[in-house]
Order: sequence, then structure tokens, then C-alpha cells
Amino acid sequence: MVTNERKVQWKYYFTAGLITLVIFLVGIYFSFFLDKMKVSSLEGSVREMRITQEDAELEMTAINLLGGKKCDVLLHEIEGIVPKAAELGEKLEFYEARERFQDPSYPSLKKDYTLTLVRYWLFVSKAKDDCKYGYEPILYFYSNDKCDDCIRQGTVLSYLKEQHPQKIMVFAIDNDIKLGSITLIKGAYNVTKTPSIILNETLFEGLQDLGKTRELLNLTS
Amino acid sequence: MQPIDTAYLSVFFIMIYSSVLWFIVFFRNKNDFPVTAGSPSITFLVPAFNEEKNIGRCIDSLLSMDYGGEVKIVVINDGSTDRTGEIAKQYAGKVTVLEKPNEGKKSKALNYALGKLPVSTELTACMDADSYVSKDYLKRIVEHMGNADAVTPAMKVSEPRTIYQMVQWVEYCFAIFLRRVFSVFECQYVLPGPGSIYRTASLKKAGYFDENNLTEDMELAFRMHDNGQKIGNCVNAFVYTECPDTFRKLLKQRVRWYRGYLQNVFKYRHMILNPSYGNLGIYLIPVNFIWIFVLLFLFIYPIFNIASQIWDFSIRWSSIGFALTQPKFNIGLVYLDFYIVFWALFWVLNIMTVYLSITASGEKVDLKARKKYYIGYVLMYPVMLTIFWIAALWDEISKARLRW
Repeated sequence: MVTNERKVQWKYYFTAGLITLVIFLVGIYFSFFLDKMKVSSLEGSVREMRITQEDAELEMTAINLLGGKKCDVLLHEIEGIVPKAAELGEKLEFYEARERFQDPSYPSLKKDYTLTLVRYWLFVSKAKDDCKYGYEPILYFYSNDKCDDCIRQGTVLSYLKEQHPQKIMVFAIDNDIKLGSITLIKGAYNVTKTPSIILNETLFEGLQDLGKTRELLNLTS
Repeated sequence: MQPIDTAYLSVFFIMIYSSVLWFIVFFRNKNDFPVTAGSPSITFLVPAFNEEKNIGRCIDSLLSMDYGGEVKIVVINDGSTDRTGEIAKQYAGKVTVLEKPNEGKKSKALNYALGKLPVSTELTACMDADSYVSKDYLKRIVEHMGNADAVTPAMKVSEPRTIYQMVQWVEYCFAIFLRRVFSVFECQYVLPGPGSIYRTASLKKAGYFDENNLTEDMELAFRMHDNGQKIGNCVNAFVYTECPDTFRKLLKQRVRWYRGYLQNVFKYRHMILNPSYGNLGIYLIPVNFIWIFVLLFLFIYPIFNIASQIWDFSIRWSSIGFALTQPKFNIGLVYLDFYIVFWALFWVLNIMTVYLSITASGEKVDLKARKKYYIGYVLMYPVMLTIFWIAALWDEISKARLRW
């Protein structure tokens, strides 16, 4: 039993609490600032992607009007654009999966990206038909909501793309995104579940494992 | 925001708060020491069990101290089977040697000496036989006594050789810093075996050492607080001690220490959140528990996270037939974690604390010569600390028998 009561030095606790709160709030502010910078960076990349895509479409139109070796030029453009679009898609997916305080402008950003990606897919599909390119544009519908097969399908497609970069182009669309054009495309191909891939105007629903996907793409290895 | 994010932010708040509190207390009281005039007489009690390699060094350091008052040295040969007793007796005339059969506990050896002698000097000190003191240790520690009933020294690791000893070297420097803070807060909860000194009357009043306790030095500190007695600290009275050189030995030592802490907190549980016990009851004991949870959270949750990621990775990898792919490095602004700012803040404060601890303990940081120490401390210490606590909690919960 204590006979000499000790003083609790509250002033130290309060001072430390105040300073910690200030440091903490500064930390929160910087975290939000960092988040804004991330979104700003992504917005810049999506804008650049959209400009590049519009430029490529304009090029095609110009070549059609003015003549010229359009297919060589276009192939060069497409081979540059599509991998960058895929990389941007991965960044968006990473941001969406990991970010704790998502910027309110992110949903619009994602829609912007998706629309641009769909334009790419349409453009690339048409260019393939016009120029008889050897690559296969794949429209791939996935979901982030309890879809383990989507993870597997995404891995298969990424792996095959890595193995055959000149042959495979993957356009990955979030099935849960609400856009009129996406709904239209899904309706046209009768996409009802995820994962689903559209290849050569044909829908393949459910997980297409590595062997099956190779078969669909006529790949020997 | 998920519940796990709330947990992480709370943990960061606690870690930053603790560091800020320590800094404020340390800097506000850096040069605020009680000063005692004079050189009161003192008896050093040195219990020794099979310390033939170290006992000579210990006694030599005590005999070499620069001190104006009377110093008595009593070695309690605790049933040693090596040459400890023989070496101690070589100092006949300067050192009293008491022989005692070994009963497995240092506290019994100390109490034996305290009961048998009796101690007639004004002060009593305890010294582990594997430790030694700096020349000015006694002058400084007595100077800083003021009106305290006991004073703790600044302990350092003697000649670290293995990585475990290097990590402990940094840890002990940090402990010097913390003891200063605890001294200001009057909440020192351990009187280290090597080098703590007591007013003999206060030690008698406290009732000497509890022979049934795993950590008798900690129990005595708690008891002294319970009696309203005061414990001070001297940051520059240096005692050098041997530390475990392997993980196994260190684990055994720390499990004993931490189990001892848990047992003593339980024994003195009436202190918890009791303002009568000042900062010890309101701050130190509750915060130590919070820190245990913080450690466990920071260690266990990432393990689950990594296990989950390994599981996800194996699912993905199995879908491509375990084929080898090019490694991918996610570099870019987007990949920076939300918590990176807080981790950066925490590490800045951590580095500042370590720097302050090392300089406060009179050492040079010397990054080049001591880089292994610091790398070991940063990478290994948090993991080791968590393992020690998990082992101690497990042992305590399962009430495993532990030999001192």
C-alpha cells in the first residue's frame, strides 16, 4: 500500500497527445495528398491513352482518304498502344484493390478508361479485318467480386500474352461497371457470367484453362 | 475503410505517441538531476556461481573505482564447482568471501549475505559476477541519488561478439534512454542486478529479495513502489555486463524476464490504472500491455497477409502449370502504400530514438564500425521481441516450469 502518493504528470501526456495528433493529421493529409497524386497520375495516363487512340483512328481515316501504306503504320501504333493500355489497367486494378480512401473521382476515371479500352478493342478488331493482321484481340470480362476463376483466367491470359506478344491482345473489362456501351456489347454476345472471353466474335463463358485457351488461340505451346 | 485499417492507424498512433512522449520527457529533464554531496559507505554484494572467467574482472573493477568513501566487497560463492571461490579468495584483505551451497537462486545468495553479515554501510549495492564497472560509476551513481531509496545504473553490453550481442548492445543503449524517462516519471519497474544501489535502511524496510520470484530485481522494484519508496536513475554510471550470445540463451533469458514481469504485474495488480501509484499505475503498466498487443499485431497480421498472398500466388501459378514467368516489379506512384507516410514517420522517430539513446549513453554512433549492430537491430529485434513475448505468454499461460 503506497504511503507517499505519486503525482501523475498529466501535462506530459496532454502535450504528447496534442503533438501526436498534429503529426497524425499531417500524416493523414499527406496520405490523402499522395492518393490525389496517384489519381492525377492515372487521369493523365487515361487522357494520354484516349488521345493516342483518337489519333490512331484519325490516322486510319486519313490514310483511307489520302492513300498510303496504312497497315504497316497502324500495326506499329497498335503494338505500342495495347501493352500500355494493359499496364494502365493493372495500375487501376491495383489502386482499386488496395486504396483505403478512394478518391471520389476514381469511378469516373475507371469509366473513362473502360470506354477508351472498348474503343481500342473495336478499332483493333476492325484493323485486323482490314489489314489481315495475325494477332487475336480478346475481350475479357472479369469481376472483382468473389470470382476466383477470374483470377485464374486473368493469369492464363497474361501468361499467354507474355509468351506470344505479337499474337495476343487482351482487353480486360470489369463486368460490374455500369456503362451503356458495355451493356450493349454484353447483350450482343450474351455475356451472363464471369469470366467470359470474346474471341473471333464467339463467346466462351466460364474458366478456359491454359490448355483450352491455347486451343482456342491455335497456339502450339 | 476496413476494421484492419482502423487497427493499423491505432497502432501507428500508439507508436508515434510513445516516441513523442519519451522525447518530451527526456529533453525537458535532460539536465535535471538530484545531486548528493559526500561519499557514503557502501557494500557491494557479488553473488557468483561458476564465474571463474569473470569474477576477477568484476572484483578488479570494484577495487579500481574512483570513490572517496568506504567500499566493502562481499563475494557470495554460491556453491561454484569451478575456481570462482579460489579466485575470489586471492583478494583476501580487500574482499570478504562467503561460502554457500547452491540453491539455484541469486535472491537466496543475496539474502544470505544480507542476513549473515549484517551490512553496516549506509548503502548496499548488488553486482553480478559477470559484470564490471567504469572507474567513475560509483561516484556518479551516488551523486545522482538525491533522496531516492535506490538508484539504477546505465547498463551496457560488454564486448559484443555475435549478432545477438550486437542487437542487445543497441537495445541496452535504448534502455538507458528509457530508464531516464522512467526515472522522471517515477515508474522504474526493475532494479537491474548489476550495479543498482540501495540505501541499506530502505532495502531492509522493503524486506530484501523475494526468493520465490522469477525476477527478484523487478519484484523488489514493484515492492518499493508499493511502499512509497523512490527509485532514481543515473544515465552515466556505466556497468558492463555479459549478454547471451546465442538465440537459444537469449530466448531463455527473455522468457524468464517477461514471465517475471507478467507475474509481478499480477501480484501488484492493484497498481493498474491506480492514480495513487502515479505514472506507474496510470501509464507504464497499461501501456506495456498495449505494446504487447501492438507487437503481436504487427507480427501476426503480416504473417496472415503473407500466407494469404502465397495462397493467391499458388492459385495463379497453378493455373499456368507452374510455368516460370518473368518477374514483375511494380514500380510507380500508384504502388505506394497508403501507410507509407506513417511507416516513414515511425521509422524517422525510431531512428531518432536510437540515435538519442546511443549518444545519451556516451557512445558514438559510428555507422561504419557498427553497421551490423544497427542492421541487426532494425531487422531482427522486432521479430525477436515478438517471439520472446509469444514464448513468455505461452509459457505463463501453460504454467511451464522454468529454472532460473
